[in-house]
Amino acid sequence: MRGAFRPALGVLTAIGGFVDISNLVTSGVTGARFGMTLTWAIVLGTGAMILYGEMAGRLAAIARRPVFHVVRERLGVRTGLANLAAVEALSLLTVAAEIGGVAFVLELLTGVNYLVWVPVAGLVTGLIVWRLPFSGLENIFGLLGLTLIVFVVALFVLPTDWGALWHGATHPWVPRGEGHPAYFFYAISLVGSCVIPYQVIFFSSGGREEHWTRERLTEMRTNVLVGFSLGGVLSVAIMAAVAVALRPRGIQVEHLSQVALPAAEALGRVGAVLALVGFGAATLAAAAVSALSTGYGVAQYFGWPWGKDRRFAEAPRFHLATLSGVAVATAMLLTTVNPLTITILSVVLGAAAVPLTYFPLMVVVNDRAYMGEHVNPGWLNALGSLLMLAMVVITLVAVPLLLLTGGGS
Amino acid sequence: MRTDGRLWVNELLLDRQIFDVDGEPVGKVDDLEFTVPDDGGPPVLTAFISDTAALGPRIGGRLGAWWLAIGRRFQARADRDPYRVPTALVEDVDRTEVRLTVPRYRLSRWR
Repeated sequence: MRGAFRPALGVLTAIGGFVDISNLVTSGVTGARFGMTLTWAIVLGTGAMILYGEMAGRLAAIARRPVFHVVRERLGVRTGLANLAAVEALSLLTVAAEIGGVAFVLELLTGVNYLVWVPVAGLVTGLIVWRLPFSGLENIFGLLGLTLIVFVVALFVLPTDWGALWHGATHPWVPRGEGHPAYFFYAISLVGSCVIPYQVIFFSSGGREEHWTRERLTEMRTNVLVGFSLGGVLSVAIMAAVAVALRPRGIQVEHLSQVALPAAEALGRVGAVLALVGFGAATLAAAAVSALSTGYGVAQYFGWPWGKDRRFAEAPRFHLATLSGVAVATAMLLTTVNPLTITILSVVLGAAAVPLTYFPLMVVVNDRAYMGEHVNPGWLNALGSLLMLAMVVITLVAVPLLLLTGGGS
Repeated sequence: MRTDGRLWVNELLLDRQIFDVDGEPVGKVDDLEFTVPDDGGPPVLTAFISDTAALGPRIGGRLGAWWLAIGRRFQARADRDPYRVPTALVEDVDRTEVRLTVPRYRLSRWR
């Protein structure tokens, strides 16, 4: 399909970086508690991801640079290192959350406690990031994750009141019985589950792995638009399906299994299996994507050779960093800390850390020495700055809200 | 950037990515090596140092000291040079990268 429509990286990024454990959980929880009133947060997050994803892809295609190269060049050794430490810590939390998600799915499928599955999920993640070629990662998980479309189908099968859903989405008031702190805490969680610091690292590095060039800018932009919009649509569909199937009965989402209930109610056993396969693919892909991002970040900061398609001997330190990330995350889970706590923590702190990678990215895509004529147009800078400002506000209120609401409970 | 041909290391050299003749990554410009000529005179830039341990002094403070000490212990042989990229092998330098005239395995020490 050379030269034709190839949105593989976009779909992988959507399934692996966008619709991940945090997105599944927050979409489900908010659908059950707040109906559709938080749709705006997903739309905002998706919009921000499309804008910044395009910048990261353009940097990879035109300047042939991944994001952490420019973080080091622009911020210098010390600030860059602090930045790297923060982003790596968050990515590790995310890897742990995703591996926990895979283990949960395996528990649901087999009935065996998730802790037994944690080492298995960790091992599989390690094998994927070590052995599976980049295109394999894109195609297998991109396709498997598409089973999540079952939530869109479920909406048409269930007795959905479309008017009520639309009314909820367009009237973003706090529902009766809920407080403002919880509402805004979950709004930040939703934005944070869409806009993730490592996402631009992964997308720009993936663009280099795919050898994007100036001539393939259109393909890159198609990837961004199709991939992230698909991610946004799937999250809204999950939120809506939960709002339709669970909210009227007052069922709260406290476990991943409950997010699959709408699919099961609409389509029976088939729906449940499709939803679980989708969950498994999305969380496993996200585990691989976030683990790769830890390796990309370290290798690019230090200038080491990196790349998934390089053999171990050609890029030993990159592979070592990636695999130790998986090992540390697995060990973290084996302390029996609740994976959902890690998930919420990674999402909220992640939202706070977004400027760390997004700000240097925006500075560099405005630099003609790197980008030539392909610098940001003015309107994109205006929009990007506005979103950056919103993310800074989120940074300031995220942690107080996390403490105030006790993690949204 | 000044336009009269003078450049400061921070805007031209430090932390730039070094690529070999095939475009493969070699490392970052972590430090610079100057040599005082035998016949005296001012020091001359002779090599880029690309070595993770060499970042220590630039990080500074106690963390930087530890960085250097731990990094040195990771090196196979203490008497070895850090990873040097002689300026004689440099094809071109601009604000965004350093390009070499040789493949990376031809450099003195390839890790």
